[in-house]
Amino acid sequence: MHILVVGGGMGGTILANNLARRLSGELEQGSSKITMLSASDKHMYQPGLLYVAVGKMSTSELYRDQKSLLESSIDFHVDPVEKFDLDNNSVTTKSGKKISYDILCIATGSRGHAEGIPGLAENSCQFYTEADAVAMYKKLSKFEGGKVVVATGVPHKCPMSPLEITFFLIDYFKKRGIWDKVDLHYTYPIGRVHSLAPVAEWAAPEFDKEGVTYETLFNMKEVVPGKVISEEDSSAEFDLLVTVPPHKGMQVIEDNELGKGGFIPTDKKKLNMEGRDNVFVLGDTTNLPISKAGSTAHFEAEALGENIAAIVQMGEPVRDYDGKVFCFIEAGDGKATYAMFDYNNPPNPQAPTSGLHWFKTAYNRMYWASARGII
Amino acid sequence: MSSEITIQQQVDRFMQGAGDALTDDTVARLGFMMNELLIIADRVTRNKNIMKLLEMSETKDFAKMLDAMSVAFDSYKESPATSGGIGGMLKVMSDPNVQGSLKLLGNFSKELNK
Repeated sequence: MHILVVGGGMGGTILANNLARRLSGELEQGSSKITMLSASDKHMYQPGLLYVAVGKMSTSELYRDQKSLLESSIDFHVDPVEKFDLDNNSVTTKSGKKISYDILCIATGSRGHAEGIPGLAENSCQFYTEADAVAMYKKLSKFEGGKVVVATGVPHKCPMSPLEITFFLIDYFKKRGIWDKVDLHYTYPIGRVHSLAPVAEWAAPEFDKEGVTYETLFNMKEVVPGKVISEEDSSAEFDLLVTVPPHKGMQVIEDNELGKGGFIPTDKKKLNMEGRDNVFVLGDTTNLPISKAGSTAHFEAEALGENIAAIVQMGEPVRDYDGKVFCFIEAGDGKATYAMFDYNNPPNPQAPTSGLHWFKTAYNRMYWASARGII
Repeated sequence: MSSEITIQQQVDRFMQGAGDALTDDTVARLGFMMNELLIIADRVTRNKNIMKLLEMSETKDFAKMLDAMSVAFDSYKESPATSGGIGGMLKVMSDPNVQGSLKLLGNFSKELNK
């Protein structure tokens, strides 16, 4: 049985390692094989970019060699897929190799798409690539006061990031002693300050406490120097615009017409691509209406690992993904809280504590054990 | 009101003190160390060769081997430099312990080549 994992990000890596552990006997005997195809030989801890943008982590802490994170039984190649031929169970890679599979797992991720909003890329700071996060930090360090606007695109990766960057900005300006010279304004695309109602109920009073103003139902339409204009015909003037840009799935998914916007239609419980029993999707690549977050990919990968191993060993999957997501929320002032939820249970964030902030700080360095499938 | 503090208060104070003493940097370093330890522990406990080595290390033969190595090193350091030449070599080779050792090495080499 040949299992092909396309994508070496958080979801693909955790899944491949999980499978390699569960199928160690089959891999040793040669009756099964796991291959991973990735676009890079480096693995990035993407949540760390938020910290880089405010000077809390260095860029060198974000990377490890992909090979070092994988079980030695996984056949790893830096050779991204360019063509999916799902009817014939094969893919063609950039180097021209045609690879057949019995089971395909697509975990190609997503990408920021600031270009989707005119003027956004040129006039704002973002933190979804290393270059953008470093550029944002440089801009922040030269900022001496004025109006700062936080604006969020739809859909976007990591649902907590608009809140976290806002709290981190408050911290950053306070530490530099210029908070009294900053007027921080938060905007959000729907009718409350966060997509999850309990999180919004917790966050709004936190903003009030710090004197952060906010405007809801604000969907960015266009950005011109010094001003962001919304679809709802309002606008916000700024000296510094910090954005969580809209996201899209990867180009290769769009090019192969596997899903609109690069997001593949996926069964919410079995995580198979709709209409395909031997093609599974996880992480940001799915079109599921749940958070595009690392923890989502992590929990999906665990459920999928168990199911694919069961398919190999018994011919049937054994469990459903329940929609579990766990998101830390950095709340500034050395404190954090978290939101945990699934398809049936909404989150219920509690008051932030120092302990949870340290837990997140430690996790930022313990992620690699997570990628290896240990924690 | 008693000046004695309860066990709970002592625990609370201890936790408060530990919390105040910590910095993000300390927590990050501890997190990094924990990460590396977990990865090493995972590799060690799932590596059949290392487990075999650990098993071997508990045998009397292994202890004897370590002792023998230690004695051999000591004796090498203390013995005068050999005079060399065929005569010196014949003198060393005539020692029954050296002959036994060469036999052991020969068996080891034979097993490796199988």
